Amino acid sequence: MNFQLLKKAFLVIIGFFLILLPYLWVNVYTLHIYTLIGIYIIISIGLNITFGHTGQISLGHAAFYGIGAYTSALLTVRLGFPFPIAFVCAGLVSLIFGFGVGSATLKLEGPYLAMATIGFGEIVRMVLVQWDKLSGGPAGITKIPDPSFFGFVLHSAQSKYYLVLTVAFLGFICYRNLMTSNYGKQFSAVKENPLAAQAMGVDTTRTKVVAFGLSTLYAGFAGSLYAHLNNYIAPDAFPFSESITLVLIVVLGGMGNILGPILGSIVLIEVKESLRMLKDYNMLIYGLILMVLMVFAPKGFAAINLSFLGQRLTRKTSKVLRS
Amino acid sequence: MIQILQQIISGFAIGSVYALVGLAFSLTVKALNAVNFATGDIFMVGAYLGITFLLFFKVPFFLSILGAMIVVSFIGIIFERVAYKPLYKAGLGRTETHIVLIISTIGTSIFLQNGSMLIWGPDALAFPRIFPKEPINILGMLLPIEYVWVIAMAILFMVILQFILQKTRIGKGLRATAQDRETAALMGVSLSLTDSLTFGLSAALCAVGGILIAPISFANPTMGLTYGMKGFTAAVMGGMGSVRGAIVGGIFLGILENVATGFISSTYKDVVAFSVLIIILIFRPSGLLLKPPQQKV
Amino acid sequence: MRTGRVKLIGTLVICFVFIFCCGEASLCKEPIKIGSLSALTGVGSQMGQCQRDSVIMVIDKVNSTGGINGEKIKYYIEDDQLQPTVAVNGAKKLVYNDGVQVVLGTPNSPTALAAMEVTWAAKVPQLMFGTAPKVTQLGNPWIFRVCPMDSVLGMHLVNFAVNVKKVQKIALMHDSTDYGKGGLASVLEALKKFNLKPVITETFNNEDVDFSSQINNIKSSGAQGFILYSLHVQGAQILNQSKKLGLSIPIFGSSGMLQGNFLSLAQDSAEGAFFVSYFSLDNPNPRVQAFIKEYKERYKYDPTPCSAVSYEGTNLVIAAIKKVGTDRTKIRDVLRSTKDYMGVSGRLTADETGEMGRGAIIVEIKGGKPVTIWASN
Repeated sequence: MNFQLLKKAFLVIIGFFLILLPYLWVNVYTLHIYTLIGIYIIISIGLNITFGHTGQISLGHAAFYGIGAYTSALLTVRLGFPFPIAFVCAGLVSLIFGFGVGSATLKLEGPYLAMATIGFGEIVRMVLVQWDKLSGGPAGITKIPDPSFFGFVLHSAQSKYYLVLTVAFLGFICYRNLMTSNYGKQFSAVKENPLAAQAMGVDTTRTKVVAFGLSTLYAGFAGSLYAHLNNYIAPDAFPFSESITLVLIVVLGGMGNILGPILGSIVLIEVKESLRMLKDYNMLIYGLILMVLMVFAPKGFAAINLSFLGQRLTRKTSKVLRS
Repeated sequence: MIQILQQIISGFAIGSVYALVGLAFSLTVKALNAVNFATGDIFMVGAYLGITFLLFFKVPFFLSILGAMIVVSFIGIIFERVAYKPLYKAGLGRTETHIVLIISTIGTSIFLQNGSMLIWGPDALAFPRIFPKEPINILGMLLPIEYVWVIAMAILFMVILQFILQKTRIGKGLRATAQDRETAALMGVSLSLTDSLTFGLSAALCAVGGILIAPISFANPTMGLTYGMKGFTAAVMGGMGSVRGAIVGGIFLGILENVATGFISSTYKDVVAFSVLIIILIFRPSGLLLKPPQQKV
Repeated sequence: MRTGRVKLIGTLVICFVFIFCCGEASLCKEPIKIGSLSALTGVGSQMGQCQRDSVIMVIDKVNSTGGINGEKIKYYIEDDQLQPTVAVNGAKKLVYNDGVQVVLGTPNSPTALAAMEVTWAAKVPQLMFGTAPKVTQLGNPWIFRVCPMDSVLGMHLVNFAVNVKKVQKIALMHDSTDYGKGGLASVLEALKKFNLKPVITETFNNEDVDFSSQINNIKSSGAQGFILYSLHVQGAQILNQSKKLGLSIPIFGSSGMLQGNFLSLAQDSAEGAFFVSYFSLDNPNPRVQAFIKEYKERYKYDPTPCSAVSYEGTNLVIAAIKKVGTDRTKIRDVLRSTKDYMGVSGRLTADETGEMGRGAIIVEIKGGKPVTIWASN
């Protein structure tokens, strides 16, 4: 059986499934969860670029997501900008902040970089809460318009789903092409061995800043989609725990793994929604799951050593058959 | 003038609690080279346990402190053995190890917070009124006795810690491991034991901090986040890994905050604190006290 | 490498199948379903749990006597973890997955606003228990607020301080959240009506530990009275420290302070303080006392003001369903026509924006217990 053919067939089936999803028997709530997963995929692709591939941790990425969301919301609500322009601006404003933070934190690593990014995330959240003339304060911005293109308004859950699906798909293609290109290999080089990379002529400083900038660009776009998906944003929607969720998605999917953000987003968001069933024990079990997952799957799900179990199973079975 | 002095002294008291948390961070960062996000929540559990021993089991005050310290150390060591040790033995790269440790400690933090809400309820818990109500009057300043108590006890525990680290064999082992793991192992120091002890010690310090702050401010399930962040800031300001640095950093932060509330509005005070933290991280990550290390090639 | 890919794809497939099974379609005749959304875990879960407890208590009682017109009510409880994103997910689950006719919640304004986007679009009535004025100013015909909003409560508090206690020089302190800022706005507006301004205004953050700076400033400002807009934990802190620092002027506190275990946290430093509220444990009305008794017997703690308004809300919804069935528009119309309903909080009369809470009371803490000393009509 030609594995390549099988793989292509499988991808086509998944593709059909994704496109027909709203018309299969799912309700608005489930569709909303799928759409949210799509948004997380977009941000985590970005975070994977800077963190998974280039090794620069960011524990404040929710702030860039928030900056994108607020930019898009303010432009459409206060200034009446059309959605496509607000969307692009959201990405650009986030990018500008990203370049700023990325350059400032270049020399930091490990726990120090983590703390600086947390600090930045908290400052953004606090400014959003306090500066109410700009941001609407803790109550946030309401009545954010639905996404619309040249008068064509996307109001239904289905249409929003397709919008996010399209953006996520395009974002993924760009990401994959970038990472598999020669230029893309520079990112991993910076993470694996920065000194060797420099010796080979890679400008590590620029690469790090570019990686960080790209990640914030993705986050900004995702933020814009989030704002118009829910028609409401508040500073509370971008807390530190959200940054943790993003990092977790990247780790669980496998840092530097191209399919990682997709896998990580689906699994984590699914798990979080399913934990609702546990009511009061919801978060307690979530904390426990985090610790357990790190012990058993530190390299992400793709690397779980199931083949090891498979081998033992075959060995045992052949022993039994022989006797 | 008197008012400023009063602010400084209360800042000193709160700052010494920040210092204890900062010390806890420094100890585990030195041992693991990763930030233990659960430090603040261990502090919180210490506070709740102290109050529980005192209030519900009617244990005498000093025994309550001791009891809380012991229980919390146990908890810290258990998490270290079960959840963290496997991670730095997993042989991942440096960045990966940092990150999985951070995520695991965040998991611990969420677990402790929610666990404590399930046990003690989501509301705040007040420390029993065992201190005399009248504040002491020194030179016209009204100082509630709790503040004096906090300063005295914090100093006591810091002295005890210094003694352990400098004079006992265990302490020397801890310091040796922090300086150079491989050499320490070659010299016969049990890495496994030292790591666990470091965690236990760090947790015990948190517990003390928690119990000390409880008479001034109530115990509530989310206090770990605030004090953890402040403690970490203190440790970074003074130089991560430095005992003296964490102490100075903590007290400085406490006083700075209290005095700043008087001059800037309280609301932007946190923004100022975080910005200061980031500036220090960017320009002098080794802290304000230590000399920056040479970059080894 | 191959096995890696297969595992990856396998996991994806399993996830898709799992997500599938979460969606269910309800096609039969509509059973009666009520949803409750509030913070059950994390910060803010004190109020969220009070809401849930009241809702369950009322529905269980109605079900035990056969339900509404012989049909039992199903209830769905969702947690919003005090986060708007989670609130939206919870609201969508209640509305689209569970198919509730009414959503009760939330006691917190940002999450209520987030959930409102969902219920408004889905044309489902929502009864909330937070106090930020913005909620009813957006033109949503499906939203209701069961407790009085901040501007009403602030007005009553200032009125009491100025008219009854004859305090002219007022010091004002509030927290930096929306609640505190909303309180500031309503107090300033109320003071304007008396041609007054506060002699000093102090702020604080909810994470702060030490308030001596602000308290000392108030002491030296010459204020005759102190209005404090805060939540209950910080409020208790401030009162404790005020007492220690020798602040002796009368204190007028917001409704957010007299919640949770405030009295056990503040103990004697709350003695003699005045609070504006819409529910008090000492209300001699037999209906109120019956509610308190029932709640305390079941849950072993005294009901809080949040418990009281959630109780009101649930009862109003059940009465509406009893009258007109499960049509959401009709339920909404019945609720909108509420007039002079006297339950266990204040008088409830709905206006066209959805505001229902009209009555307020002032309580004074005497001997460690709240005593109602003034009530609006």
